[in-house]
Amino acid sequence: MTDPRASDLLSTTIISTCYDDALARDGELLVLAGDEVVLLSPLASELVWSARHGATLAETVAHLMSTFGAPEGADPEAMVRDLVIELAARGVLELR
Amino acid sequence: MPTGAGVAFRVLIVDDLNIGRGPIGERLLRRSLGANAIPASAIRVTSAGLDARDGAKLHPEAARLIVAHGGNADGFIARSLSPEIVATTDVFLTGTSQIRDELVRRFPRTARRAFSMSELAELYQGAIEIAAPLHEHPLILDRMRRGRTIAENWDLPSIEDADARRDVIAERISETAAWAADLWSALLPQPAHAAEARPVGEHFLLDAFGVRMEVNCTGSGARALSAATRRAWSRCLMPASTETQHEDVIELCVDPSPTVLATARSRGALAYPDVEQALHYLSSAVTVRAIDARAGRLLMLHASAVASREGDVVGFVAPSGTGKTTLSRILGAHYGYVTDETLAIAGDRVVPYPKPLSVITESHHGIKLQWSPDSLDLALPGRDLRLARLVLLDRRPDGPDEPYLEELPHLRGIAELAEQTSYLPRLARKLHTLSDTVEMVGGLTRLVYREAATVLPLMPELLGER
Repeated sequence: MTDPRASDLLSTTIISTCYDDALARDGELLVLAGDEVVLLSPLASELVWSARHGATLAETVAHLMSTFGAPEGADPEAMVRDLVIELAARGVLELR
Repeated sequence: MPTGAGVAFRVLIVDDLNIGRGPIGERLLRRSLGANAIPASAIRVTSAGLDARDGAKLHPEAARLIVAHGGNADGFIARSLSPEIVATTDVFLTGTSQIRDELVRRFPRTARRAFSMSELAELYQGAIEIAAPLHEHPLILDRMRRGRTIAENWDLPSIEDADARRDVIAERISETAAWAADLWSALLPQPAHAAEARPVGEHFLLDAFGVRMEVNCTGSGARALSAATRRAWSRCLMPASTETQHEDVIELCVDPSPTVLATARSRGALAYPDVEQALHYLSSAVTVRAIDARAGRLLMLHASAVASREGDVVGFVAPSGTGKTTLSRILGAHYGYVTDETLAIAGDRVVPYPKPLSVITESHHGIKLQWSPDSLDLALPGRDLRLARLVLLDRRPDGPDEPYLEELPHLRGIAELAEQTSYLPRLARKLHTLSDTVEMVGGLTRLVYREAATVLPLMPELLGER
């Protein structure tokens, strides 16, 4: 058994937040999850904000594409998958 | 994951099959914790295997080695590591760095909490006086290992493959278990059942940021120990006539006899062969137990602090072993000494903790001596202390001749401050308490310097006096 991997995520996987507290300023989020504090990049902050009421992976990718535009030379969905997995490992997001 | 005082610190020993090294580590660490009267409700030790077959029996050689080292091999069956076990673990220990790396590959969320045994030993050796609650140690140790090369990777192969080396492997695990149990037990409250067995020695009360703690000196060295402790803790000593109840008791035993020391440890005492070691470990024990007692009620930062005559306090935030005490000695000659370790804040007020300072003395190898702020002639702060400024220390060996200050963006500053905050998750308003405190003192400042003496001329600026 392992933690979920990027390849395990489906477009219908529900992403939601599970942190304990957060501060927002200038487009960035600082979150407390368990006893760890994580300062999120603007992209990660927007992702977490968009998942506050739960969102599918497909909805999240679409939202970030509309907010930031398509990344140059990279697959946007693959980028979002990696970011979601990293945030889940930090206890900021949970996946269903 | 629940964190904090009153919740067991959960240690998981991870290996491959969970029939050899892992169970040996589990049972010998339990043995050593038991010898220090630490119950499973305070530290819970279990094991699991990355490729274990659930229900597999202990390897016969592992069972023999556990018993040979005074452990209990009964009732063990192997279990495989699952996400559920990972989610309820505070720290993961492995025999080798290869197992640690495989653990992190399969369970990335363990990355900041997984250590090989040799790594743990080396990191703790570099920071023997981590004065922080046990639950905070994994992240503190993880920050210490960033950008650092661990010199040694102990050769602890599987018991199943080791043949002639099995006894050597078990001996190393046994020694590490005993050493870790001694270190951790000093930071935990003494068990309630130990109170009845505790002899009444020379005792007195200390005040650690408002927490009244009784120190009970026992053993044949009790008188010398009591005198040395009272001297070192002169500014925290409560008057003998104080009729207030204590909140915690620390039995501190000094005796040359290993038998007496073992008996004292079995009732939860901190027990050492000489006064210097006893004072050394007492310092962390008092600090951590006081932090536990005020979890959720005070904002407690890993910081030294000094105060102006008017009672304005400047806090210098930094991890253990990065220059807080040296700075306290330099600044405390001219400004009131508030603390060199834990800055306790209630709203805009500061509760002083003028504990002894650990000073390296060339004549005592490895152990720093505890000096009273009175012996070092540090200035007294006023009675009414108000937090005026918070500074993040950044001491660099190749730093500038002239120190400089730089303002930090709010969230980045809070992120750094949070790493030096005890029991942040227990504060009612969590990150918002930190944010309000930082805004109250006009933001966070980073101080980049090389030599502590060069910081003194900056004090008027830090106090807003120019």
